[in-house]
Amino acid sequence: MNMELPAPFRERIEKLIEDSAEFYAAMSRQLPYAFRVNTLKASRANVLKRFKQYGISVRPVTFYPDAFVTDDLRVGSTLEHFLGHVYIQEVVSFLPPLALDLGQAVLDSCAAPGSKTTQLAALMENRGLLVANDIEYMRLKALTANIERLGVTNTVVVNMNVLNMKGKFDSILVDAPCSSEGTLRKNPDVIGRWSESQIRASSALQKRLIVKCFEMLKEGGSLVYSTCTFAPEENEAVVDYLLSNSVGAKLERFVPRGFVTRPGVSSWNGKPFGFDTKLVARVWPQDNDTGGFFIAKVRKSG
Amino acid sequence: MKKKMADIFGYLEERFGLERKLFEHHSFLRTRKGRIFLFSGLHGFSMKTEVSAGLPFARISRSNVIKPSTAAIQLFGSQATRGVVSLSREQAAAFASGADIALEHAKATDGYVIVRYKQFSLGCGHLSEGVVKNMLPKGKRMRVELI
Repeated sequence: MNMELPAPFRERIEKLIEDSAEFYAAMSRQLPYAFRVNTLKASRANVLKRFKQYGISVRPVTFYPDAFVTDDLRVGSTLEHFLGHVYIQEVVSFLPPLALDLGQAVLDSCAAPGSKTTQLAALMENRGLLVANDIEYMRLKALTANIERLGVTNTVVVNMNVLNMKGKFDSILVDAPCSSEGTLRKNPDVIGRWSESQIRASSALQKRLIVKCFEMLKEGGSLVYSTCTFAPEENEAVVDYLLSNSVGAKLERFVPRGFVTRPGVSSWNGKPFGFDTKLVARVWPQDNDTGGFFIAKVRKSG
Repeated sequence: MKKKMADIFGYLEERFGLERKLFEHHSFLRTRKGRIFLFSGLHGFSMKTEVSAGLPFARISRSNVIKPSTAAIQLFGSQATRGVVSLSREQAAAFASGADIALEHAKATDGYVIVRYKQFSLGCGHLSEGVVKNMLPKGKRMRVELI
């Protein structure tokens, strides 16, 4: 894939990193294939044994023992895939559920199509309560299909605008809708929808989402904010907005084992952010051969 | 309502040998349209816009026939001691892609059955006169490479 990146896109990237040549090279390579074992229905050992019989070779994902990377596209047509014993998911997408400290009542605020919802359910071992919300009714079909296929039983699916939601949760995932710059390796179409005005619009919505979700967090609770974009307006600026508008929000560092992350940018367009941006993590495609990602972990002090 | 749930336990035991204690940490929720969901989460959360809670487990027809879902069979089918038909490799691949399967001799009595390949419960079928009619939801059917 040798895509034409718009000049303003390239200018922004070059302001963010010094190794933009490596970035462009990584973006033009095919994204490796990743999957996780769905521990609600199968054991890692059994799946690995059978994949070995099939001749499908896999490499471990360092920070998540249930997840693997492979170059073998047959994973999607195995019996294990049909049975919901494995789930194909991008490496960076494994991160947010792992960053979240899981309590009894968990909210996945922007849940469809349900990769992270079903991963959360597996981490919760189908116990507690998982509320999976998405504002778009049409996207719930994919979410409920994944819940069925993976054998998730602890989840309530709701179809609301998060801004109108009520309730208190121990843990909240805000995997926000974003300009998706980091998914370009997988979806080159993203570039057709890309614009700086879309970034500004996303940022405005994300600020309202994060503040609203933080309100619904119990004292002592854990919130993870993530996007699949590089735009600081949608990342550090959103975290900055939360920290300066909500009392009791405190950042915690999340360090995935054996995986390279970089600190957040400390300023953008000449404006410094008002917090220690080393506490949030950026994932650049050239560092681990993945998509791009941003993740911030917040605690509500009580 | 209570009676209906007792029916479900009785049916699962009688038809498949699935014991009630398998579901002791679960509750069954019945919708007005005769769908039964299996829920293992905490109760006490309700929202007007709730779309569903838990896993679609079964459907009760107007004539009161209970049909287990493929999702339920994939989760609990391995515990079943009866109401099971076992397929060969070729038959299993055909079943996964949506075909009905004619059996030489079926051990189960007619009605809804758990369709198995080796130790894996693939999904729901309906056995009648030696033919397993495919009950896999259309969206779940796929070409599986069996080795």
